[in-house]
Amino acid sequence: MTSFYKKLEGLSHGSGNETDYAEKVAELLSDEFGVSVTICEIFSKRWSFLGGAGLSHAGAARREVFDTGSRCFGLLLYPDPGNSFPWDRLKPLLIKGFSSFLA
Amino acid sequence: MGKMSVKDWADNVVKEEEIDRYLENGKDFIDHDAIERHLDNNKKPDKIKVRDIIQKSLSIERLDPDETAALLHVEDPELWQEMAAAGLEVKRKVYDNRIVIFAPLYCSNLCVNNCLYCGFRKDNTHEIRRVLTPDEVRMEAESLVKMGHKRLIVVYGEHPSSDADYMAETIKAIYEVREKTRKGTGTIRRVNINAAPLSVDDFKKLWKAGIGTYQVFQETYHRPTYKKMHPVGPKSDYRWRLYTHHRAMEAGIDDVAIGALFGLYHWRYDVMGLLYHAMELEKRFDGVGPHTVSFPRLMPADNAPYSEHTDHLVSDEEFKKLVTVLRLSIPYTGMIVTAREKPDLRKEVIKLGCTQTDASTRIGLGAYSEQYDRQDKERQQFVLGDTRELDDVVRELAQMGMISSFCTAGYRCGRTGDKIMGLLKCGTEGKFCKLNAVLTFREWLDDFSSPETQKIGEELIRKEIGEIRKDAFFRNNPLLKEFEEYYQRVSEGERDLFL
Repeated sequence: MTSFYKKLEGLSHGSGNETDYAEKVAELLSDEFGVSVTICEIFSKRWSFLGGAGLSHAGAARREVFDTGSRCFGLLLYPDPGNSFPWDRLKPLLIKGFSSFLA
Repeated sequence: MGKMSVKDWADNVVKEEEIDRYLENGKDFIDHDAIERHLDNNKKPDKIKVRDIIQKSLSIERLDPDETAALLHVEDPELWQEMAAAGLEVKRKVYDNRIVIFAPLYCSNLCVNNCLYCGFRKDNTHEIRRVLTPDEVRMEAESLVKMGHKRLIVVYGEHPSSDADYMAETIKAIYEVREKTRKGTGTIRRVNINAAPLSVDDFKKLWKAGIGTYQVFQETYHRPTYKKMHPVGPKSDYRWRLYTHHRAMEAGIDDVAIGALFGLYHWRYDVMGLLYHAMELEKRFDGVGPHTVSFPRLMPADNAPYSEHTDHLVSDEEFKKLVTVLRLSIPYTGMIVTAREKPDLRKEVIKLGCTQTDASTRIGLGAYSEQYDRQDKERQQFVLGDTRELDDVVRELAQMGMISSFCTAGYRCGRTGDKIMGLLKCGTEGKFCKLNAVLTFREWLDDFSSPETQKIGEELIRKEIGEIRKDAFFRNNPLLKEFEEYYQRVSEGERDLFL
């Protein structure tokens, strides 16, 4: 496992709540992929800001959704990192990470 | 509700601990003496002072009470013209030339209150009472989607049969609606709520259901008048209503909307009340003021005598003045003018800096799907001044050079509360607004417009795209490329793309 994935997994063992966690995850993803990252909690059609860039300078070029079972979250990325963004590998780690804070 | 009687339910609505925790030294934020003092001390403002205040507003800074009171007392017609022009410029800076379009959907008119001016008051035996079932709400939403609406304000009476659980159920029903359009599929993308004050726990239910904005009006900030107008029921508690936005914010709903019903008390006083309310929200919630301000005027209502006999009815001229002052005083906020007003006046008021309006409005229960008379007093809260169809309103706005926006992007990208407030104050949100207005206007023209509206709409959209391409903000910004791609895809029939 690369140091990036180790760092991402490590964040889920930290202190704080899901908002702090979202902030740290967004920062880590942003540094790794060189894109603006915002994390929201999704309530029906509403995407409610949790952490990250806040899209203060750009729109969302790509949206990814993941569900912890009890709550639903979304990632907004700008610009679209394309195939360099390994969503299939990231998604289970984020589900696990958010679930640990919601437990 | 269980076996609780309606009266017991009503007696248990107000939770004192959810008022007291917001008070400061036992006092609320409406300081009557201070408001009177500001109004008294600024009765004859000189021109230089007024022009300085206008400049402050043009830099998108919220005005303070003395400044607002000074504007309220301007008498010079030339200065009023300058203020009106500045209001439109403020709006252009913050929101560009777009007008957000919405429609009201009334779900229930049973009410435990007895507001003297309202057709829904419980003692009004003329009113035909009804609570729409979720299926009936769905049918109403289907009718609205077929007209081209994307954004609703859903309205409920205060009654156990339309409690927070019912509201959440209706929100869900509305969001489920999908209707085929000429080139794509139509849905309601943002459900805002106008409902009586709730507890924090009840607001959390609405939050989870995906509410957009929570809107409620104080009606009047003048306590003695408030007391007289709202003799019984939970609404008789001034402070329960005054702090409902605080509770909504505490529950996570960070877009809240305030308003006053002009005509209950003196209009200058209630403009000051709205300003105080905005200042309080900014102070308590990290600079997040009201998402919108509404300024409905008292209109005749069935079997509600006060609506026709008040000393404080607001004339058209006074109405234009109060809208102008509100626009300048709270420059970042959205401003809503509704179909209560007649078409000509609405047109004038939009030019003073309003940002949202409704169209094809029906306020009777079931009125969209059952298609009964446009104005049926016995099923309405008040009488409308403008029942024109959406196509007519969109066309008129286009003739005025304003683009009708069906955008609901902000709350679907985390741009709410402090996130949107920062963007509004620096003018960046207006840039998103322009792009999203064009995308949604393209959808609407292709799916719903009449040939006549299509023609003028195409001209407008070409002009808008030209402006976007020339705008320095977009010139070296990857957003432009993305917008152009989205525009192409929307033109080909893809729906609900936003930035």
